[in-house]
Amino acid sequence: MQFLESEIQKYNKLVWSTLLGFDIEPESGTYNFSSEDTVTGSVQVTGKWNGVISLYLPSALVARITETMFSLNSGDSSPETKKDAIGELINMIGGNIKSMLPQPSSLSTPIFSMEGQSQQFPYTKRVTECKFVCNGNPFMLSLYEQTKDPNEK
Amino acid sequence: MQQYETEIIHYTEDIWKSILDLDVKKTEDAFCPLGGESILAGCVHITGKWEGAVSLDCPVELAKKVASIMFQLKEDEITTDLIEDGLGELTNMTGGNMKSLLPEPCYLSLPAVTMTQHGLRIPGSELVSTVTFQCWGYKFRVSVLKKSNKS
Repeated sequence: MQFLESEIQKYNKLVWSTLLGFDIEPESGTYNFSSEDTVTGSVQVTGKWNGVISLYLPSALVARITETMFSLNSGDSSPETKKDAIGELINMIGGNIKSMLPQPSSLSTPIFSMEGQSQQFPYTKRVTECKFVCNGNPFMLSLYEQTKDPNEK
Repeated sequence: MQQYETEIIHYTEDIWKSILDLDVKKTEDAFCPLGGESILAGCVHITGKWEGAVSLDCPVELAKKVASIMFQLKEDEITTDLIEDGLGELTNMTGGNMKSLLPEPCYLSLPAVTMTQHGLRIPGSELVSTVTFQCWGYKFRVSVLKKSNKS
């Protein structure tokens, strides 16, 4: 099993359920990170453990999350509200995962990239990837761990 | 003058000169990517006593030249990974210098790099200061953002 895989699955289900009232289920298989339709939200963990927690979502699911979170009508979510919604979601997921990592560690403010704009994290390697499905929409949560200190020469 | 503007200018000029031997100068021109131009955005987060981020937005072509100098390779040998590593390195150094100005203790995150036409968005933060620079006919931008107090 991957690093923190079962904990990630458990806490991710909890956050989606309590924050949005959505049921999500783990699913096997891969997710197309580089899809033009993928929106990415990430938070960085700094301290005793250094790395990144990233959430990859298709645009249709992002719209649904945003509309639910801010009680908007279907089709009324703007890029700004989507940014805020996904930022909030990854922040909550990240906070839960951070509590399982070596302490003390702190969480950054989230980073958000729109459809097709992938985020890269030099000096890290992916240690965990968990695929989920929500109402027929697959999405992915990944954990990247630091491999090298960028300040080392 | 914006908060930290003097320091952004000083550190950016120093870093680009010492690491790349490039002279960069602040410009009053706005950082406006041409329609369809791809921009590479690098970002480091700062957490602790002060919370926010330092970002570096740079046209891909300039980032490629930077990587070529930094890794001492010809431009046609430069891969996307190296371009991202190069920008990550510059962002990390810029952020590290800015961190020294902030209340302690503060910690620097790993750099994040993304290709964007819209800019890297950092939810929950507000812009403190941004400075546009000129280098080789390209413009790039260094920004400092602070975590918002809004809950």
